Amino acid sequence: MPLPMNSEQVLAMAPDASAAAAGRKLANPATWQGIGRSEQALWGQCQGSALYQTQIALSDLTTKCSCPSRKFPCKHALGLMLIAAAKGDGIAVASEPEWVAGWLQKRTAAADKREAKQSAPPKPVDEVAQGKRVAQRQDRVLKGIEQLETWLDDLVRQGLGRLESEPPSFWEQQAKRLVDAQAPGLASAVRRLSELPHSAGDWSAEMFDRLGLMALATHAYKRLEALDPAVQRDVRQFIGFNVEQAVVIAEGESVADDWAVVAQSLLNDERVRVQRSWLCGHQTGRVALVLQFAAGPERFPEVVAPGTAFRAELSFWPSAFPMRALIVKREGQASVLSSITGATSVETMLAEQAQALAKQPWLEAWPALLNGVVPVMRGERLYVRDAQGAALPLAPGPHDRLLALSGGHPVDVAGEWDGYRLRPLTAAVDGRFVMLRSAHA
Amino acid sequence: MREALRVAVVGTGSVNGAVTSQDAAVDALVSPLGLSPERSLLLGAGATAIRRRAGMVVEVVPSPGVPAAAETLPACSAAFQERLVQTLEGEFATVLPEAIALLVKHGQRLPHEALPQVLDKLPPSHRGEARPILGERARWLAGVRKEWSWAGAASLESVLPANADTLWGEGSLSIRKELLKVARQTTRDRANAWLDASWKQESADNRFALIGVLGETVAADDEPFLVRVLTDRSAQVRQTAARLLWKLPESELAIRLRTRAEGLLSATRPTGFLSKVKAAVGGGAALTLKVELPPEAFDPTWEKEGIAESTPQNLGRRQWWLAQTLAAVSPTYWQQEFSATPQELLAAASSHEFADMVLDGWTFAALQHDARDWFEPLWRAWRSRQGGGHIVAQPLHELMLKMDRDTASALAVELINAETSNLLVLGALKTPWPEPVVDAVLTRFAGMTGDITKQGHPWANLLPMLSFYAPPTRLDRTLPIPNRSELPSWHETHLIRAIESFHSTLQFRRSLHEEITR
Repeated sequence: MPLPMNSEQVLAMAPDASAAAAGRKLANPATWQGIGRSEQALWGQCQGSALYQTQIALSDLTTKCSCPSRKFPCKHALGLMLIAAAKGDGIAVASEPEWVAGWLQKRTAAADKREAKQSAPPKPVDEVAQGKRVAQRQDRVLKGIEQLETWLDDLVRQGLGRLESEPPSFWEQQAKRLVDAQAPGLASAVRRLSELPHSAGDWSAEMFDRLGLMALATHAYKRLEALDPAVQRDVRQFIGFNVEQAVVIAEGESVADDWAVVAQSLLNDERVRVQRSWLCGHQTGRVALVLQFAAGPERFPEVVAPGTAFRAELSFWPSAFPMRALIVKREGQASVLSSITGATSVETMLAEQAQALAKQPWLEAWPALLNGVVPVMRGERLYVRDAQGAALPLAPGPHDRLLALSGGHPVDVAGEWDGYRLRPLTAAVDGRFVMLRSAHA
Repeated sequence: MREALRVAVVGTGSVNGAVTSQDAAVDALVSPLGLSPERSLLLGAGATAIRRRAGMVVEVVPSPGVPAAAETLPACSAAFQERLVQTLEGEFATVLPEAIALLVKHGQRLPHEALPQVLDKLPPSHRGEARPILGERARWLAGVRKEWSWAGAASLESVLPANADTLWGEGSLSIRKELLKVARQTTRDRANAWLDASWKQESADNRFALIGVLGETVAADDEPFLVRVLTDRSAQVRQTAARLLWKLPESELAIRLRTRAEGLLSATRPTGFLSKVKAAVGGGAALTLKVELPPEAFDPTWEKEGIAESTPQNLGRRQWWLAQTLAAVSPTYWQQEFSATPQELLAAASSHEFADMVLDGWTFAALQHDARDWFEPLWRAWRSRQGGGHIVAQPLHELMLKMDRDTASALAVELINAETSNLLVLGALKTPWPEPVVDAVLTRFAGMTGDITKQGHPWANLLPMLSFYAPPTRLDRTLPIPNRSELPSWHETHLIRAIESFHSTLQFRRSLHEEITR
């Protein structure tokens, strides 16, 4: 099975809807010549306004095409992958032509070089200058926090009820002050608050909770040394002290396992696309959140396809409850998932979450993997209900696909639980793994 | 609302500012810090948020309703599903009926995850034929969303619903038409009773629509009702009723018209010795037709017989009334009356000065009475003329629609090999097109592509029809794609696009046929 994906997963890799549509059109074998595959690659030539050579490395699904498009993967690569997804073993095994073998060789050479660079000793740092920068930032952050705490106190003194009528600039100004104070984590926390007064339902309770969590974080930051080192990491992360990838690889916990990509969501920020993938380790049972970023039509650095599993070494960001991770190294080929292994009851899932909260109280999203739940309408809202009758409310819909897959019967669901609502992302039923939203709706 | 939240919402400034208690465990953490009321409230809120999230008491909801019934059909492959989704809109939308038919033929259904998209986007005209492929899950989903409720309704096609009387009384016109149609086929008396009871209250538009439905299954027992409708207030309804009576040869009206027509038409054969020899040799004596025109003054009673007085421009009034009178009588009657074949009668008519009118009337009558022997001869007669008739505007198309497949196919091939006009008549061929027709078009076409600019686009317009209606056995046909000239004309570009589109549609359809068997 050359390509461990179905056509929907392939289309989810497209950088935007028009590339997806163009890819579909090129999934016509009549426009291709010389389609072949080997152990390592899949290739073909596509007749467009010229004859383009397209190839895909099967180990990590990196694509390369001679067309001038700056989108990755381009429509030719998408078309070729769609053909492979449909034809399965129907593609002839052949020896790699020169233009494929040459590319694969270059990639291995580049990968070796990257690894050498990573394990090379780091550049010497000007300790004095760095010390000055750290102190300066510390100073700014503390001042920013002081101002934020005054702002928060004012909010509560005047009452949250007023917030509904505040314009966006009210929140944006405060966020900007925090950015200037070099506390970007707090800034985005404030920006997220601005969305609440316009959401449905009882937003004031959620607002109160979030303001409280923010207050706890700033309070903790002011007495950081008194805290457990792992908790210090989480507080600093909340404030906005990011840890660089190189440091994570060097110092973070390293876990090798067979990782199943059980759920994924794509966020389109103004200029940046963010891919959030939840991975579950088969042997270790660990859960990891892998975030990837791409600007505009760029492709994400790694191909992380929901519904697939691959052997890899992950490095975790240091935390009292490590969850965010990056992929250090992958081995072998990805395989297809046919199920979701999760909690058999809502209580079990919530208990696991509670354990995590005890260690990392600022946890935002928890990966909820539930086996055998039924979507149920209660009034206007949809819930998922386990065999004992316990039910969790879903985020606002529509949840058409989930309902269609379930038909009132139990299904396995993977999604994000934030303490208020479950956002269902994928489902598995009858040995089939299905994304609940198409990537380009 | 808990106390702390209430205070936060109205503001600590509005409450006398005392420190609000949250719960014992949280108070124990916050009070010792001795902070301002606002600070205490916020820190307490944070701690409470974590406690509440970690210790969340889950809602218990009652058991859901009846789940979907088990499926009886296997799901189609993911590849086929992907293709079918492409036929819901866009360039391959015309292939949708074929995709549905393939699923039905192979006893497969759509996978569940495809249902929402299909239920949303399936055009209403295709809902009936798509029902078998939607499976039991669609029936269940019909109860989930109002827009999908049609997927759950039992098909009206075969059996009347239990509340048929209510629906007849209160439903929309389109529902009532369907009800009437089904009732006329299953419980005729009930249908007629419905009509009788509500007729006087129906609007003119309704009466016209309903009598159209009646017409599909008209039979001798409808005569009394139709005769009553001859006095309807609406001219359109009256004419429809009268023309339905034309279809009942034993009805009083039909008999009256036949008698009058007899007076207008007569035929003779020469009786001399030579003609007898000719007849013996098999040449047959040429028939001569004699046509009388109806009287100058329009008899008002004719209007109730379905003959309209007002005449189209440039036509003689009496000729127009002649044509309508002839339209009332099945041409097979003339075969018997004059002991002549359709060919002989048509040959005689075509040399007559009123040929156009006679042909028009006979064509309408042949179509109405399903006079099969007349279809091909009439078709040939019209082909040698320009344009259509006034009663039957598109005779070639109408006749081809009713012809049997082999005759239609043979005539189509003749047409293709002979000429460049009239080709859109091929749209009347029942799909999928017969293989000889497809081959004839492509052969002719392949010969043309070398000389694009001269031929122009009428042939290019056939290609889309061909690409959608070619039978599965002809899906591998190709056409050479001409080289583009330096500065292509509009004709050339149009033609090349038509050919490329032709190939991609055939390829798409071929992959449908391949993927259904995976």
